[in-house]
Amino acid sequence: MHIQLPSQNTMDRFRTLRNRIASLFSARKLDADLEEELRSHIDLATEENLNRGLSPSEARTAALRRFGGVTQIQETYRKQRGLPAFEVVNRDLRFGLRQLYKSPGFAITAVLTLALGVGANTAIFTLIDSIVLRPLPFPHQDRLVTVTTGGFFPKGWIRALQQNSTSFTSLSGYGRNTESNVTGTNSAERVFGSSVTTNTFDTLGIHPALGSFFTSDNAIQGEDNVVVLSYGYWRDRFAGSSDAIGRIIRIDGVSRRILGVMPPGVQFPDADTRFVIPVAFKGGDPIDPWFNFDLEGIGRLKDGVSPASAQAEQRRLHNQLLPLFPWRMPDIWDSNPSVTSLLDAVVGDTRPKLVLLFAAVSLVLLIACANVANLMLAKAASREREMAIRSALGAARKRIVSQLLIESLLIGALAGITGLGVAYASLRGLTLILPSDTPRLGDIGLHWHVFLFAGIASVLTSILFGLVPALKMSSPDLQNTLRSGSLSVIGKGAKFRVSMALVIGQIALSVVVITTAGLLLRSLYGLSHVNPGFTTARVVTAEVALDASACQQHGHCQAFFQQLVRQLRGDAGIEDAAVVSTLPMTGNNFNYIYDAEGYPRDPIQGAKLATGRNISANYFSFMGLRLLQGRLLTDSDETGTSRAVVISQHMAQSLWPNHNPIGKHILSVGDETGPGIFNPEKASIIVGVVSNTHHDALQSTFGDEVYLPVLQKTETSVMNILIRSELPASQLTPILRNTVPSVDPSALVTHVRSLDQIVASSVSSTRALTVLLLGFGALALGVGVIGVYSLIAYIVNWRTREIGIRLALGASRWEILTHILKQSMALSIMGSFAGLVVAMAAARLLKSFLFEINPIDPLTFCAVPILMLLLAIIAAWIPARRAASVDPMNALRAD
Amino acid sequence: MGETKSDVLQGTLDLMVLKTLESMGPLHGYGIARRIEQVSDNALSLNQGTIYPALLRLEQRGWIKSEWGLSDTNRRAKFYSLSRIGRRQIEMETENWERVAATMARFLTPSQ
Repeated sequence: MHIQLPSQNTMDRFRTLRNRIASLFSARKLDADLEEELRSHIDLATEENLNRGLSPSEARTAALRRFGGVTQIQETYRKQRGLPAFEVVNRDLRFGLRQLYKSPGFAITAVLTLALGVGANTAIFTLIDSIVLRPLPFPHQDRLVTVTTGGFFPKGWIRALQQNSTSFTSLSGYGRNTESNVTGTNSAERVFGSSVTTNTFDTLGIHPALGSFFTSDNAIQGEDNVVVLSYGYWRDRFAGSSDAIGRIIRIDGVSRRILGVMPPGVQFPDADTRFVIPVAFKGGDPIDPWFNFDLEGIGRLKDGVSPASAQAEQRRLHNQLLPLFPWRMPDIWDSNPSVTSLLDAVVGDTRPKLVLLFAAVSLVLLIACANVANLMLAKAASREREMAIRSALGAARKRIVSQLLIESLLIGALAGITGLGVAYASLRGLTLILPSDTPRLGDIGLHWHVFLFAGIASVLTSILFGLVPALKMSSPDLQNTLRSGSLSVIGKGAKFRVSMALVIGQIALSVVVITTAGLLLRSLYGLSHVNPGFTTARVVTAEVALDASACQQHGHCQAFFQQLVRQLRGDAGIEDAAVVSTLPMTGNNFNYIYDAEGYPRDPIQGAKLATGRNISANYFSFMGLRLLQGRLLTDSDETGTSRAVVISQHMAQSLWPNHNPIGKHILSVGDETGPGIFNPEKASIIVGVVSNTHHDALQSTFGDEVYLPVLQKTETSVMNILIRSELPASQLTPILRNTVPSVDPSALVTHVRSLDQIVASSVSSTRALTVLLLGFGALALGVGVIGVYSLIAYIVNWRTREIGIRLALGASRWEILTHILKQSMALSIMGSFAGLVVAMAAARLLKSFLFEINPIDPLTFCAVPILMLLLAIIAAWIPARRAASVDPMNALRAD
Repeated sequence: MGETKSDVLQGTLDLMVLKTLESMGPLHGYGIARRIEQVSDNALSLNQGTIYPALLRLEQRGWIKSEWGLSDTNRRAKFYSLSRIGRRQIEMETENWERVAATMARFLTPSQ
């Protein structure tokens, strides 16, 4: 039989819950309401009793009796009105806050150490979020991929891929981001721009903020004198005016009409791209599409097509499309195209560096957690009696654990908020430390992910450091505490075992972080002592650019730079000047693709590759390159009749290890009449061999280098000027800005900087990583030292009486001092040992970040434990001194 | 908010309150308590205070609503009245109780 009782249905329950929640926000008013209602009840009853003839006092007593316990009813009523669980938490929270307030030293230490940990983590997470996690500003950006090989594609190849590939909804090509002279608005300036195929904006899926984008007509030569501006350039140069559309600007001497403006936030292909021009085809010319190898591919994958399958298709198409070239291409050209997601391509090798930083900073947070756990353990010990009494009075174990956990959560929350502040404050400094070529540097900022991260990090850490003391305090052993008077479970019974383990763990983790930082520091030190192979002293460089169209007048560019060098040599404060096409260590190299005498080549094989530099004859002496064989270039070689070139030692040895390289011939493939056809009549003749340079970067190995004179047929509109002077770059800039226009008013001077600066910036990424890791290492050590100090201080405090007895029994103060110090050093040695074992295991992962040192570098692996030992002594010094100065009489009398 | 073993008793009191409000119209807590005592002929001598948790329960469910007003003797008091939901509920609750009572009656009357 089922008796259905008057019961609540779901709606009733819902209304009840809503009511209860609402009541939480007006508890005070509701309390007053209830009080008044009950008072009115008693009054009404009293009144009725009076009417029945009772005396006033009898009437009131009778009314109260009939009512029952007023306080009890109020209590029941209140419980029923609100949410009891919530109120318990609320009470615990208030209690926790009072606890923190009562011991400000503990609260500040705990919150600050944790805030530093959370803050450092949040800061690094902000970088990861902004650089790696946040999507690029294109719709369905996860479908965008780059199609790349080692080199570049001609526009004909991109067109062939567009026509034959089935993996993409849209496929485009974009060129290198290079600087151009832009005139036609105010003054002339050097501005970064790129050329893109006309469908690029469709591939990206973006619409113009103003005006329009390219149409397919703009891909025909003659129709291509148009330009699309980046949002930033439009805002800076045209003050964000809509009048800009339709205006004409001159880019490298070519007049182009402004078609439209890209939407804000779009940085394509690079962060500093300020305009794009269309890639155009010469109508009906079958050879033109295949000449310039200057594009990379970007495509939007069809739904359901993975980058891997698109890549497989690209590799299939390669053989099929190669015959489209009007000449026989080497098989190895583009034989391994790779299809990578655009975001991955943009982030590049920054990801592993961020992961390394994040790993280090997580360890710092763990160390901070251990610290706070220890502080809480120490604090909990002083509250043992409180807890014991509570549980003796019937508090459930669950309640005690939850009370203590809520106290931890409170510390975590305070630390989280402070940590966010720390992260926010340090973000600016952080972006300054990062190398300027860090991807998406401008996007770095706090987004909601970061707040979520800080929240989760602080809650998780609170649980991590709160659980140990909470479980310990609620353990049944505690009952003995009451029985055994003032002896403490944590202090005596467990002999600080948990605390010591935590401190050893802290030291071990600090050792891991500081060892990593040490290895990177050693690498950086090694890098800074690499001889680049050229002298940088007192050399200032500047880029000088004529309009790209200037060289159409043969000899004009060559004559301009020759004239400029002569002029500069005469300037006050300038000792000497030289010219080079590309500076070493700037990432801009000119590839000299060639065939060499004695190395016949099948047309389907690739030619040889060296780094070429067009130089003025005094470049060698200027850069301090030593002549090893033959002769250097002279001014007379600039006529081209001698066909003289100079090569590096590395190139000479790899080409002709057992022969005299002087007089050998090398031929640029551009001068060949057909692929692999070696014609010594047209080839350059090697007249000298010079010493090697680390021209790519300090950490790279020597490569093949070719030095060529600046000829009329190889002249370029942009060259780098080298100046030897006592003056710094800042003072040379006005001199250059004065002299250069006097030779040609259209020429622009940019990038004035010392050669030292260029060399230093080639290791900027290693330096940034080292600086950050050292910072985190210092943080880890600082927190670790606080940990050791507080534990030792706590132990000393706890053992005051024992120390007093020892002193009374004749122990010397020195013995006490060394005893305490030894204890600290023992912790340090155990921690260092554990840390070094972990560091050794982890060191292999660091290999790619290190330069010419063994991941298990003996110096670092010895220095770190010594440092830890020193720190252990420093951390224990104050408590040890205090222990040694204990007055035996006072110690024995106390407690 | 789990229901406890006193649910049966709570339900009785709830229904008494609802029925009182149905027959008497808006009434303050004291009035409801007195009315229940009178109807039960003082047989049910409850602590009058227990009426308040019952009133709160009914109000939280939205079956009754309350309003401050003046009593016959010009005293400020909180008056309770049935809500629309409450009115509908009475019928259902009454049915339930009649069934329970009938079942109990069958147990209690000796079988013939």
